[in-house]
Amino acid sequence: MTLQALLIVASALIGLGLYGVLSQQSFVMLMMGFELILNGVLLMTMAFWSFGSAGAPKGQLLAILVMAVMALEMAIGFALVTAVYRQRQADTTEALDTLKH
Amino acid sequence: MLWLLALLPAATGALLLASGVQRRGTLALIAGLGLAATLALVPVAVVAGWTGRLQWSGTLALQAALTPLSALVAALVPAVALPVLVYAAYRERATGLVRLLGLLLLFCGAMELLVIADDLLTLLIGWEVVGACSWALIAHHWREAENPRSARYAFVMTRFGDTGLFLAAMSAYAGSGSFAYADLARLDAPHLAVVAFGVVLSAASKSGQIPFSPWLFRAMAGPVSVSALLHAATMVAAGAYLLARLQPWLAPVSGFGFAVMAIGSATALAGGVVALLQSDVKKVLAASTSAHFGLMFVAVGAGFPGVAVLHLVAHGFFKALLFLCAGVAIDQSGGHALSAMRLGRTLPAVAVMAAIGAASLAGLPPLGGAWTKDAIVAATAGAGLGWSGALIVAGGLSAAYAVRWVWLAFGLGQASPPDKQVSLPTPTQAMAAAASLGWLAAASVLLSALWLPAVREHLASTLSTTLPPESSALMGAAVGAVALGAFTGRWLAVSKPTLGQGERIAAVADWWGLPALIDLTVVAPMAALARASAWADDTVIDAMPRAVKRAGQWLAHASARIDDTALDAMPGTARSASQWLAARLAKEDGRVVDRGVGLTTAFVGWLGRATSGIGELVADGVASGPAQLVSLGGQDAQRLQTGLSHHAFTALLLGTLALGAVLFAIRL
Amino acid sequence: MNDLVSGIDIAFWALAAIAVLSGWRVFSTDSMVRASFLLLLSFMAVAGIMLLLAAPYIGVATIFMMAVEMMVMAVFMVMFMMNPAGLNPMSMVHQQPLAIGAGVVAFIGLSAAVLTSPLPDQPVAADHRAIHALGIEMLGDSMLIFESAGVALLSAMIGSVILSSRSGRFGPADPGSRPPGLCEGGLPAGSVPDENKNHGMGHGMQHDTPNAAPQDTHGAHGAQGS
Repeated sequence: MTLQALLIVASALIGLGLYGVLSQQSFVMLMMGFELILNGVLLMTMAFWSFGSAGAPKGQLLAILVMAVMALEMAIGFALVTAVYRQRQADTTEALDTLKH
Repeated sequence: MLWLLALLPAATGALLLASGVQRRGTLALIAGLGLAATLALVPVAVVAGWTGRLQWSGTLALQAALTPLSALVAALVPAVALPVLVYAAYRERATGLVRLLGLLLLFCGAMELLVIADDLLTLLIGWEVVGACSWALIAHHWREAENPRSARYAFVMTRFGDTGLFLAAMSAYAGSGSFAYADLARLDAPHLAVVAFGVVLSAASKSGQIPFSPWLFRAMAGPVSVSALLHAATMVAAGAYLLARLQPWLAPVSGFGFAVMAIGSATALAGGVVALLQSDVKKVLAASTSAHFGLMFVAVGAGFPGVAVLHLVAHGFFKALLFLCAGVAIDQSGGHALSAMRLGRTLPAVAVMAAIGAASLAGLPPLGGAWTKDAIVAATAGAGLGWSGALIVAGGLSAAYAVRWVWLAFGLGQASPPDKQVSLPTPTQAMAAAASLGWLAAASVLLSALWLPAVREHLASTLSTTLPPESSALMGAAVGAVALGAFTGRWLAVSKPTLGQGERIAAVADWWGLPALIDLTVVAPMAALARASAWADDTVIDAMPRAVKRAGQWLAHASARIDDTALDAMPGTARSASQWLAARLAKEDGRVVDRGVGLTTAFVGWLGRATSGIGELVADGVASGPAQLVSLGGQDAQRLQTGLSHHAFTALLLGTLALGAVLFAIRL
Repeated sequence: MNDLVSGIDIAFWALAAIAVLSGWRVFSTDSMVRASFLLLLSFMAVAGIMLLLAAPYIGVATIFMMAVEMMVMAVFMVMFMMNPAGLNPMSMVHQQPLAIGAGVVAFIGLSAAVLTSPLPDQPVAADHRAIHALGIEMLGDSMLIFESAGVALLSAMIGSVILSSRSGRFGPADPGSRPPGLCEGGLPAGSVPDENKNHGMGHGMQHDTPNAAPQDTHGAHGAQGS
C-alpha cells in the first residue's frame, strides 16, 4: 500500500465516475457518476493525509469537507431533479433541451 | 630721272586713253604737249647728266644713260612723233582714234626706253613693248580680216629675230654676270661672239633686212601714221640704233663687221630694185626703208656708228614726211596704186613737200639726206671698194625709185578718177596735215646744214664720234649715180607707168619672191608642225582627257540610267508599293483592325462586367464574408448549445483536460 | 511501509479491487437499485481502505453517510426511473465512446501525473490519535470551516426543500409531475384510466375537484402544463 497505488486506485475510481457522468442518460445514474468521482477524490485525500502530511489534522478535515460537498451536491441535485420531473416529466438528460438555441 | 623720257609719252598715252576725249583738236593738243615736253627734256637730261637706275632684285638692276648718240636718237623720237600724231589726230579715221593715239604714245615711251637703256635687260623690255605696240598698231583696223593676219606675220617675224637678243643677253649675263653695256667689254671672245651675232640677228629682223624684209611690206596694212612713225622712223630704226650703240664693244668680234656690211648692202641693193618695181605707193616707201637701213648697217659694220645715226636721223624725218604725203595721196585717190595718182595739180603744197622728201631720199644735194648717204659711202672706203661700189649702185637705185615715186604720185598729169567714194578732208584736217608735213619738210631742209664743215665738226665733237674722211672720188661717183638714177626714175615714171604690174616683175617687186620662199621654207613647215602638234594634242594628248570625259559621260549616263531605272524606280515602286500597301491597309483596317477593335471592345466590356461582378463579389465578400463566416461560426457554435447537460459535462471535461495538460506541461 | 507484502497490503488490494469492480458494475448493471447498492459497496470498500490508512473516523463516517445516501438514491431511482429493477434490460447511455475515451484518458492522465510527480513521504505514525486530532482541529483552529460547512449543509437542506416543494414560485409545481409511463409517454403504473381523479398526485395525496380548484386556488400561473 503505497501512495502511488492508492492514488492509482483513486484515479481508476475517478475515471469510472467520469465515464458514468458522460454516458448516463438518467439523472440518478449521472448523480452516481458524480458520487464515484467524489469517492475517488476522498480516497486521494486520505491517501495524501496518510502518506504525505504525517497525520496533519487538516487532511481529515478536508476529507470531511469532501463528504460535505458530496452531501450538498446530492441534496441539491436530487431536489432539482424532482423539480424538473414535476415540471416536465423529465428524468433523462435528453428530456431537458430548453436551453437549446 | 632719266626714266622720265620714257614715262612721259607713256603717261600721256594713258591719260589720253583714260580721259575719254573725243575731239581731234583736244587729242592733238594733249599728244603734242606730251611729246613737246619729252623733246624739251632731252637737252635738259643731257645737260644735267641724268641717269636712271632701278634695282629690280638683288642681282638685277635696270640702268639708263644717255650717250651723245643716244641723246640724238632720243630727241629724234618725239621730234618725229609730234607731227605724226598731229596728222593722226586730224586725218585718221574716227573709229578707234583714241586707241590709236594712246598706243602711238605708249610706243613712243617704249622707244625712248629702248634708246636710253644702258643694259641689255632694259633694252629687252623696251624692245618687246615696241614689238607688241607694232602688232597692235598694224592691226588697228582689225575689222578688216587681212590686217590682223599681217600684224601676226610682222610680229612673229620680228619675234623670231628677238631670240637673238635673248641669246645675247643670256650670254652677256653668263659671261660677265651683268647685263650692262659697259660690262660687255669684260666678256671673253665666245660670249662676245654670241652677243654680237645675237644682236645682229635681232637688229636685222627689226630693221627689215634680208631675209626678214617681207614683214615690212605686210606692216603696210596699218594706218599711215603708224607706218610713218613705226615703220619708217623709229621702230625699224631700233635695229640700226642698237648696232650703232653696241658697235664699240662688238667691233672686236671677228666677222661682226663683215656680216653687218653684207646684210646691209644686200638689202640696200635688193630693196632698191624692189622699190623701183613696186606699184603700191606705201610699199615703195617700205622697200626704201629697208634699203636705207641696209645703208646704215653698212656704216656700222664699217666702223662709223655716228654716220649711221646721222643718216638715221635724216632718214627719219624725210621718210615720215613721205609717208604722210602718201597718206594724203591715198586719202585723195581712194587707193594705194601709184598709177592712179598724179596728184600734183590737186595737192600742190603736198606735192612740193613730197618733192622735198623725195629729193632727200634720192640723195640729191644739198639736202641733208644726201650728205649722210655720201658719208656712208665714204665710210666704206676703208672696208673695200666692193662695198663702196655696191653702195653707189644702191644710191643710184634709191634716186631712181624716189623720183619715180614722186613723179607718179604727185606728178603733173591726169589723175584717174577715184575708184571708190572718197571723203575729202575738211579744211582743219588739211591744215593739220599741212602743218605736219611742213614741220617734217622743214626739218629735212634744216638738215642740209650738215653739208657745212663747221657744223660737221661741231657735231662730231659733240657726238664724240669719228666721221669718215671725205673722198671726192667716191662722192663724185655717188652723185653721178644719183643723177643717173634720177633720170632713170623720171623716164620710168613717164614711159612705163605700169611697170611692176606684170606677173614676173610683180614677183620680183615682191621682194624677189622672198615671201614665197619664206612661206615654203618656214611658214609651211611650221604650219604643218603646228597642225601635227594640234593633231597630236587633239588625238594623243587629249585622248586621256577625252577618255576621262567619255568615261565620265558613260558614268554619268550609267548613273542616269541607274537613277532613272533603279533609283527613280525606287520612289516609283515605293510609291506604288506604298499605294498598294495603303490600299491593303485600308482593307485590312476595315476587316482586321475594326474587328479587333470590336473584339477588344467586347472583351473589355466582358472584362468590365466580369470584374464588376467579381468586384462586387469581392467587395461585398470582403465585407460580408467575415461576417458570414462569423455567423456561420456562431451558428456552428450554437449547435454546441444543445441544452443537454451531458454535452455540457463533456465540454467541461475537455476544458479541464486542456487545463490539466497545460499545467502538466508547465510543471514539466 | 516495509517491502514485504503484509496483511495490510492484501487487504488493501482486495478492497481496492472491490471498489473498482463495484464501481464499474454500477454502470454496467441493468437494475438501478442494484446500481445504487453497488455504489454503496464501492464506498464501503473505500472506507475500509481508509481504516487501513489509520483514519478510522473518516472511514466510519463514510460508511454511515454512504449507506443512507445510497438508500435515498434507490428510493429516487424507484421514483423516477421507469425500470428501476431492470426487468426490461435497456441501455440508457449516450455518447458512450466519448465517455469511455474520456474515462480512460482521465485515468491514464492522472496515473501518469501520480507516477511522474515527486510525492511526499511523511507517513502518519502508527499510534497517531487521528480522531483526537481531528476533533481538536475541527473545533479549534478550523472551527470556522466546520461551521461554514454546517451552514452550507443547512442551506442545502433548505434549498432542496424549496426546490422540491409542491407549491412553486410561480404556481403549483406538480401539474407536470406524474409517474413515468410504463412505456414511452404512456400511463404510469397503477394509474386509473380516469385522469380526473388521479390528476397530479396518484400516490395518496387527496385533492379537491382538480379541474377548477388547482387553477383557482393554486395560482393563475399554474395552468401551464408540461
